Amino acid sequence: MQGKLISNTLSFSGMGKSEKRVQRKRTGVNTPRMISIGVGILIFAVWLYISVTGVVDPKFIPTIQSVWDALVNISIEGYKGSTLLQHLGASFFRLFVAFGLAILAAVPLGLACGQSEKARAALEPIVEFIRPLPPLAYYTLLVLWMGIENESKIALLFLACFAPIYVACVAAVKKIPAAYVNAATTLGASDRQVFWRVILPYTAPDIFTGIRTAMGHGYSTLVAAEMVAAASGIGWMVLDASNWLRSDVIFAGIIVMGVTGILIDKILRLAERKLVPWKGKL
Amino acid sequence: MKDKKVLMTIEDLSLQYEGADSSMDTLALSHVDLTVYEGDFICVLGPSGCGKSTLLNIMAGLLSSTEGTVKMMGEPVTGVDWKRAVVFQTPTLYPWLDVYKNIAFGPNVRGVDPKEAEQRAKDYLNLVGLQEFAHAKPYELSGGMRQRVALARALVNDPKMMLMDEPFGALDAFTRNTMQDLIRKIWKETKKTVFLITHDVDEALTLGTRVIAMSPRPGRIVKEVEIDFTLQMEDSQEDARYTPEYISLRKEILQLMGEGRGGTK
Repeated sequence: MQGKLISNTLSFSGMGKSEKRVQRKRTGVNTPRMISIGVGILIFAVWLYISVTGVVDPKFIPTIQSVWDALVNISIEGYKGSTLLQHLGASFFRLFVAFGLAILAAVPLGLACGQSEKARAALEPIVEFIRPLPPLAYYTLLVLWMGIENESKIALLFLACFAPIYVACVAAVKKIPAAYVNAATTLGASDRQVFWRVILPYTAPDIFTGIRTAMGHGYSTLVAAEMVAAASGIGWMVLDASNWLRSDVIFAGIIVMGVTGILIDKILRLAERKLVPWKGKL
Repeated sequence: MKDKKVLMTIEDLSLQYEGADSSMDTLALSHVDLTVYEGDFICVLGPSGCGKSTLLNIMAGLLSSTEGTVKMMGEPVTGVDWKRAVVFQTPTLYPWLDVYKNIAFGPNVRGVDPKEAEQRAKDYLNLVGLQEFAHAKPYELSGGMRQRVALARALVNDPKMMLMDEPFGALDAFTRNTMQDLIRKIWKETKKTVFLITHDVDEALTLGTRVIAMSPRPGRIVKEVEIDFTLQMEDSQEDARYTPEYISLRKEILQLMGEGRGGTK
């Protein structure tokens, strides 16, 4: 039944594309992708049905048309004084500053703690205590200390991003086989050379995985933080819209968040492939 | 034989691993004495747990002994040194470097003049027959080819001594034969001193000039023989393996090691 549905819906999604997909399907390579696309189309079709027939109150599920209008409107006119890009910019500024600081702090500390039991003993309890805490639990404290401006948000996101990167670095260093290091030292490498030429490249793929996890964690924390206290940002926009029952803006905001989240991860994956092509080959 | 120059002397070497309490301590090596001469090809045979890898690691400077001394050319061994190259059972090549850069790793970290380093790396790449794979990544090579790279990487430093810990143990029988021919050829051409650990009696007998048998608990040397089958092993003829001396020596060693059923592979 699903196969039938896929071929039916594909026929009106643009000739050039569907021809290409059919060709690929014949080689039998892209069946999973076809299923994913089919599910996406199915969800969209249900939404389309609701929009057209109006069986659900548009306060709960706005029509496709109204969400599209809201998207266009907040892109051009803006929402409460700032355009969509400005809201996104405010969010991304917080996210990327915190993310960059977290990488700068967590990678060296993580690599050091992976090698030294004493350093680990000093830092591990703090990290282990903060890690399982929901970030919003201590956010109130950060707001109390630093105010509701960017400082408290950046501090919060820094803490949220730090742990995944730190933990990945420690684990990566600990699993380096002794033979990798011994091979370098017996060939004449100094400790410093072992670090730069063996430990760092060996751990790089795992560090990257940690960075991607941190980004996902940071992004969701960001949106939540903006919902608690902010006057700009994509998260704030959605929360504010809900106060006015503007479900069209809520939908538009959520879709934008989802798409940018996927885009960020795609960019990180691309960077990963370029920077550490030896991932999985160790 | 004894007019050769002494390269390394090992005297009364013991190593005890500490267990949870003193009754759990294990004596990995017990009172080992060995003199290594320049140009020797020493093959060490023994079952697992006989301390042969421990001995190699101490000679390399990767482990320190609890008792006894190791001296190389009169100097006590206190740590690793590029003059003692180590080839591990699994070739620990760096996947972030291509084959050529893996081989050039030693000269590069030691600060050898770049031009000379490049020339040496190329020479050894050719010696192991991988010139066409200079820019391949280690994970694109077969197991035998990887071990060739590891061999070239160790040789490129022109070490005084090659310490090899079951270097062909993870290879299939055919590849292993090719690698044995290669290491024999390299040994004959470069006159390097080789200390090779193996659990394969034929490998020891067809490569070594001295074969040392070790036994476990505690790890110690139980027998040493000087042989010259390797000199008779020219690439085309392999008659040495079928001579009566070879067969009887093989049998003797196998019985000594408690597995006299005739096969080790």
